Amino acid sequence: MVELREVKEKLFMITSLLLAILAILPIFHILFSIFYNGLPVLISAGASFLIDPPPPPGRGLGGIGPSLVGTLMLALISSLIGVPLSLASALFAVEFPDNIISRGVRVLSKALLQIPSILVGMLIYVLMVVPMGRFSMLAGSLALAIMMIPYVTTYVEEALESVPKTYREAGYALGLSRTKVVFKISVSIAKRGILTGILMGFAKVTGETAPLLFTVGKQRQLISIDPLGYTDSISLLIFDFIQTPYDNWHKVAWGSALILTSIFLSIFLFTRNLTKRVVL
Amino acid sequence: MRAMGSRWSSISLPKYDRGFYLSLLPLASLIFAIFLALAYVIASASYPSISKFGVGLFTENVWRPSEMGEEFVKYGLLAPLYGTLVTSLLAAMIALPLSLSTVYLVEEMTGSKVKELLSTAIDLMAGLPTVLYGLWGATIMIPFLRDNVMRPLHSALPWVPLFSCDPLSGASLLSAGILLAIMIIPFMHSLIQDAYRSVPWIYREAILSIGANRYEYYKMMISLIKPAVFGSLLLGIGRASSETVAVTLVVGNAFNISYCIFSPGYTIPSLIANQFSESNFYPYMQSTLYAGGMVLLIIGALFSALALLMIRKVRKLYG
Repeated sequence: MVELREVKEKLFMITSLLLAILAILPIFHILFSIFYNGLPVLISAGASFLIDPPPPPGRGLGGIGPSLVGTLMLALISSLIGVPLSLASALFAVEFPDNIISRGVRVLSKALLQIPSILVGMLIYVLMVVPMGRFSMLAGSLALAIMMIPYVTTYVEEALESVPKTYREAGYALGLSRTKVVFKISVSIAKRGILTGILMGFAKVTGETAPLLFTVGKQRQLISIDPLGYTDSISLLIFDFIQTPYDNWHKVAWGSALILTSIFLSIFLFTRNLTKRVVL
Repeated sequence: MRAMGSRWSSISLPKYDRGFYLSLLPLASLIFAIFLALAYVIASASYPSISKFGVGLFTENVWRPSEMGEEFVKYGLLAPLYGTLVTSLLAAMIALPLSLSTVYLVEEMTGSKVKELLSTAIDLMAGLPTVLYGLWGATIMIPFLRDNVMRPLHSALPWVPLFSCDPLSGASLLSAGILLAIMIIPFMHSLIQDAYRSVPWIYREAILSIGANRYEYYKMMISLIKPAVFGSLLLGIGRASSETVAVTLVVGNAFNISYCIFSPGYTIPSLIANQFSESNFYPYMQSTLYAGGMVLLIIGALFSALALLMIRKVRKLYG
């Protein structure tokens, strides 16, 4: 009997180790393949890869300039819309926790995390693209902002809640108003966590694809920063190019994947130094 | 502070606080507006197709667009609904044992390098843009699975219905299920981990004090949080069913209902991703796609609500 138990324990340890390795093997293989396939492309295309428009099918490497600028502009505008709203709804939910509206905000921001990203694109299509009669960077940014709000809100809420109550009580004891306590004490103590949330939100929207499919118009020939004009993102370019039969477009897709991965990894490593906690 | 906050309803707030409250209120309420807009847009946009095709929209497998006239048009979403169900069930079933293993190692191997490596890898997996999973899945995972998993299984066990068809390109329900499993592991991991951490030390000490070994200990711990594990399975299915771009690249995109998991299929999100941009030109096509989105939304909402109830049950038990 004792032996059977020991065998079971050994078996359990071995299987769980093997399964865990199986679980994380893909991510390392994905990163490895992106570097392995993308690096030669970047080296042979040179710095102009970051500026030039994509090549015609079948010949040359060109670049991803318009898509890169589009990605950065989309992430910037969506952060400008999404971050203040996320901060406000997080502050609201943390400061007035037992109010019907804040309970609703909490539940709905969790629910918003679960909404299929493609539906957000379809929503913006009806609300903005159809009335305006055209795709636009602004429409894409709005879709991304909706993706970003629940995500950043969750991070900021956690950061604010981690501030010990005694610090706030000390503030009240000094006779500070609630607004002062919130901004001078809670927010300034939680600022690393809040910054992490904002950066993770930024990283998330730089990689999003589905909300942009029917909102930005996939204009990847000209660099444009016009918020009402058509634009593109790196993720859309990868999605489209890998589905074509052209070898050089596949190469461009891998090069773009390396650029996207580098943006993601640098934000990831930076925020990891700020704090250690990650929410989904 | 929290106890006081409960008494300060919006009416009896002190003067300073009321200003603060009122200035945050419109911004925070925006989230309600987003939901109302989503519900309204999806419902009104899908109404024409639902009223024209009735229940057949969800129980038949037809995709017959027509520019000629409305009488020739017929749509039925059964194939994408079936594909969504199969791929997300496959994904959740594969991801569950893997997530249980990673949770065990991260939670119980404290202080070791294994824990550090695993949690970094899982955080990376959670944040990696989904299109990169799709890129890797379409160009590297599919050929590997086709040559090393699907073909051998098909030639060895062709009489098993699941393996009965020849994997042509490799893009199939199975490929989508496996890629989705990889993508939802970090999500399920963190849900199970949260529940696991909520079990008080007193229970752990009790289990260890009766002489349980590591296997028995973990088995009992998991049985203590069983509703939460089931809840995370449901949320995992919901997450997998709504994934778009990665699935579109690996599922094969064919209106196909087959027992065989090596055959290509469709999912609702991949159907939308493929057909939406041309759907303007055909009567009822766009509306049909919105109806698909509505089903996705309703199923997702039901699953999430059920899952959150179960997870809350565990939290109440120990919290």
